[in-house]
Amino acid sequence: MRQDKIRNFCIIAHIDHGKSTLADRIIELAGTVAKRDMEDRILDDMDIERERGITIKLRPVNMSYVVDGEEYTLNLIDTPGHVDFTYEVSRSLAACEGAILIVDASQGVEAQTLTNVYLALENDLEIIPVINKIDLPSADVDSAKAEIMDIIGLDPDGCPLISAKEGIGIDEVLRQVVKKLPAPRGDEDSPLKALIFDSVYDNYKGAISMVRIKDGSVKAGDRIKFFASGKEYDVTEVGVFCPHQRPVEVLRAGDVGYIAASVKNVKETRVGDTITLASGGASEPLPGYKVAESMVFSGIYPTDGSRYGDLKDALEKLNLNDASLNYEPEVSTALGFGFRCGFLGLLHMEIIQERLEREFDLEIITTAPSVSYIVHKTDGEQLTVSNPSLLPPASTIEYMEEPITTAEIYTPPEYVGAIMELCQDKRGVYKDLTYIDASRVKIVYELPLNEIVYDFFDALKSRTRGYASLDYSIKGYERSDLVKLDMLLNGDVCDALSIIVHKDKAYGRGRLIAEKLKNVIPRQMFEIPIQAAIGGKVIARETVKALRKDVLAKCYGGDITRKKKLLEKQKEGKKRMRQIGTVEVPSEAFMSILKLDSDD
Amino acid sequence: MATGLYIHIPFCVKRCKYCDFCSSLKTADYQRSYINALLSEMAHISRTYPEVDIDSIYVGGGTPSSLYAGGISEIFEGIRQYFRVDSGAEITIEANPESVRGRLAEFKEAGANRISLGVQSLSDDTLSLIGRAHDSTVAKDAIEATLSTFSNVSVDVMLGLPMESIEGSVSTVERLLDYPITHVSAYSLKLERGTPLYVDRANYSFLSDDDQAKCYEEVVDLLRSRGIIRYEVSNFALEGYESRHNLKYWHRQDYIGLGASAHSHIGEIRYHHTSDIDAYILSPKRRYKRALSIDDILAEYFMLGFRTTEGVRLSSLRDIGIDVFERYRAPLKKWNKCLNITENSISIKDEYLYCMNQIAVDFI
Repeated sequence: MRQDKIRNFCIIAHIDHGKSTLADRIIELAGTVAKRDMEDRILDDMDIERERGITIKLRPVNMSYVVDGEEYTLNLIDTPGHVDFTYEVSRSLAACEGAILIVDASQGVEAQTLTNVYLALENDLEIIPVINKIDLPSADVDSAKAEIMDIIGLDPDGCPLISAKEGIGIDEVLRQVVKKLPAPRGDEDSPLKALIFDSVYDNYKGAISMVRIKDGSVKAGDRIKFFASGKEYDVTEVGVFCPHQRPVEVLRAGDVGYIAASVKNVKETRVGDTITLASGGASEPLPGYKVAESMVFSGIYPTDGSRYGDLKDALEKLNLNDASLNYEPEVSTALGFGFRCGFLGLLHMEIIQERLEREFDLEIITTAPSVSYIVHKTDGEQLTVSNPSLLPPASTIEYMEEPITTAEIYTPPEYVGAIMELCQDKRGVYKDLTYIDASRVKIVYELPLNEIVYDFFDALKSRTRGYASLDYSIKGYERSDLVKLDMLLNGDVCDALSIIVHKDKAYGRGRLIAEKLKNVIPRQMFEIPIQAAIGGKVIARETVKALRKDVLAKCYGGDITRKKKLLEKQKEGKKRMRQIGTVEVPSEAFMSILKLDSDD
Repeated sequence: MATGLYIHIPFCVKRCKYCDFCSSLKTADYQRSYINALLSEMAHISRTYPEVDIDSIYVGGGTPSSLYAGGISEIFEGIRQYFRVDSGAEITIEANPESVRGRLAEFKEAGANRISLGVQSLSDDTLSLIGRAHDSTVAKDAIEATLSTFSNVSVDVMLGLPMESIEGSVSTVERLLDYPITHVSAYSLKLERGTPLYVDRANYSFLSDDDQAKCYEEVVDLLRSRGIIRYEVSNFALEGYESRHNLKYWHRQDYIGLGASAHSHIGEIRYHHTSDIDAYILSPKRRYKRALSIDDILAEYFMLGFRTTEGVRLSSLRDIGIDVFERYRAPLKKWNKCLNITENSISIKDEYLYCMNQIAVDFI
C-alpha cells in the first residue's frame, strides 16, 4: 500500500537542544536540497528566528530515504520549541503520526520539552527519543537515559545516540523513523479531508494552504470547498515542500503538501479548517484545533499616526500565518487609533513587535502588557477586561479575579534563595521544591500572571545570571484585590499608561513609574507634573522641570546651513515623540514603565 | 538693490582655545596674497551683480585688526572701486583689543563707522584660560581708545566661559557698562568638537544649561536697565544702534560674502567659499552654490526670524504667496501661548526666546 511508504513526523526539543541542527542534517541526508544550497538552520527563514536561534513558525519539508532497499517519503514538520508557541506545536502534531524527541546529553529533559511531549502523547503520536550532543565533554548519556525513563516514561533502550552538529548517528534516527513510526492510515477512496495546519500568502498564487491529507486525494482542476466558510474554489496547483514549493500532480491520503486555489482573502484559508471537494465531499470536517487563548495583551499604535492603515495591513498579514495573534481596533485618547493585541505570552509579544518593525518597517508604540481580568460588577454583570483604561469605575466593581499560573523554575541550587525571595515579592505562593539532581532544582510557585508580565523574566535573569529558566501554565482565575493605577501628565490621565495592579503593590509601583517617566520625558517649555493616582487620589508625584535653554549659537558670518542641520536633527528626534495633551512623550516611555525592577 | 557685504579676514595674532572658525596665523606676505585674492573676487563679483547697492559692510574674522598696516585700506579701496556704497551705509570692522590701537586711524580713514570689539571677558584668569591675546587692562584701554575715535562701538562678550560663575560673567557685562558703548553681543560658549578647549573639557567646570540660562537672563535684565535692549537672542543695542548688517542675516535679506569660508545669500541662492585659505587664494572665484527650495526658504524664515524680537516678517512670506495662518495653523495653535502674533509679524515672547528651538522645529 502506498501509505506504508510515508512517514510524517516532527521534532520536539527544548530550545537550544539542537532541533534545527538535527533538521538540517536530516534534510542533508534525505532531502532534496543540494549541499551547496544548504545554509544553517534552513527551516528557520525569518531573520528573527535565525538571530535568536529559535523556531517560531512551523514548516514542512518533503524528503525521500531508502531503508533496506525500500524508498520512503518522509515529511518533517518543524515545530517551535518555546512554551509560548505550544499552540503552533499542537498544529504540527495533528499533521504527524510520530515525533522525534531530542534530549540534550548534558542537560537532560527540560520543562518545556515535557509540555510538548504530553501534547504529542495526547495526540497519540509515537515518540522516538534521541540523545543529542554526545560529542560534548559534559555529555552524560546514562543520566539522560535515566531521565527519559523516569521523567517521561519512555524506554530509552536502543535510542539513537547522536551529535547533530557533527553529523553522528543521523542515519540511525531516520532508520528508526521508518521502522518505529506508524504509516498514515487514511482512506484514499473516501471523500477528501485535508487539514489546514498553516497558510502563507503568495503574491502570484494567492493564499496557499499547507495541508495534511487525511483521506481522499486532490489535484489541480478539482473544485474544493472550505468547511468553515463554505466557499468554493478551483485548485490551480498542488505540491510539496522541498523545502520550497514544488508542484506535484496529486496529493493523496497520508501526504503533506500545499493547495493553491487563487484564494484572494487570507482569512479563507483558516488554520484548523478542513478542505474537501465541492461535490461528493466529506460531510463532517476533521476536528480542528483548540483556539489559542491570548494570555498577554497590549496596545500597539503607529508612532506616526498616519500609518494606521499600514499597521492594520501588517497585522492582517502576520495574523495569516500566526493565527494565535489576536487583534482588534482600539482608540486611546493619548495615542489615537491603534490595536489591542492578544498574545500567547511575552516572547510572542516581543516577536510580533519585532516583526512589525522589521518586516513591515513600522515604528510602533507598545503599551505595557496586561493580562485579562474578570470583573464582577455590583449589578451582577460580569466582564473580561484586558485594557486597563476600560476598567469600569471602582465604585461599580464588586470584586475582580486575575489569572494565576503554576510556574516551574529550574535553577542551579545556589540561586534558590534569590528566586524564592523574588517569587515571594511577586505575590507567589510556594508549592514545591525538588532536586532533580545535584546541580538542578525545580521550584514550583503559584504566581499571578500579572506579576510575570511585568518584569519577572528580567528580574529572574538578573538574579540568577541567566541560569534559571521559567515555564508556566495557567492554573485558573482567583479573586484578588486589584486597583487601577493611572498616570497623569500635566494633570490629564494618559490612558495608555494606566495599569491594573494589586493594591499592596500600587503605591510602590506608582512611585517607580513616576520616577521612570520623569527620566524618559525630556524637559519641555513648561514644567510637567507627573502624578500616579488611584481613583482620584494622588499617591506619587514627580516633576519634569521646564527647559531653560534650547537655542542655537551664533550664526557666524551668515553661515546658516550648519544651524539648519542641527534643527532638522532635532525635528527628527521629535518625530519619535507623541503629543499627549500639551506634553511630548517619547515612544519608549510606554514600554519603559515595565522595566521597574527596584534593584536597578 | 540694497545688499550687505561681508569680508572675511581669516587671520589672528593667536588662536583662541574655543575657536573652530576659519582663522590662521600667517606672515604679512601671505596676508598680502590673500588680499589680492579678495580684490580679484571683488572684481569678479561686481561684474556678476552690476546692480547691487551696498548699504552695509562688515569686515569680520578672524581678526581684521591683525592685518598688516594698510591691509584694511587696500580692501576698502577695492570695495569703492568695484561697488556702489550708499553714503549712509553701516560699515563695521571687527577688532581685538590687543591689535586695535594702532589701526583706529586707518579704519576711520577707510570709512568705517562702527567697531565691534572682541573683549569676551574682563577676568584675567578667564582670558588667559581661553587663550586670548589680551588681558583686562589691554581690553579696557582698547575700549577707551576705540571710543575716542568711534562713537558707535559694539562689544562681544561670552557667557559661561570655563571656570566662570554666573556672577563672573555678569560682572564682565557690568564693568563694560562703565563705557558708553552702543551695542553688546553676548554669546554662550559652545564647545566645538576638535577645539583645544573641547579636548581639555574634563579639566574645567562649565555652567550647566540651567545656569547659563540664569546668567543670560541676568545679563538681559542688566542691559535693559541701561537702555540696551535685546533685539536678537544674543544681540543688544541702544535704540537705533541695532546692527543693520546682522539683521540682514535674520531677515534673510541679500548679502555677498567675500573671502575664505564666507557665505552669501543672493536671490534665494546660497553660496559659500572653501574654508581652505590656500585653496581660496588659488581660485577666489570658485563658490559652492545651493539653490533654495520653497521649503528651505520657509524653514529659514522661521529659524532665523524667530531669533529676533521683531519676529518673522509676514510681508516677506506674503510676497512669496504663503498664507501663514493657513499653512502654519497647527504649530500656531500649539504655541499660541508662547508667541506674539500680529497682522505683520510672529515673534516669540521674551520669556521663551532662549528656548526658541522647541518652537522653531515645529515650523520647519
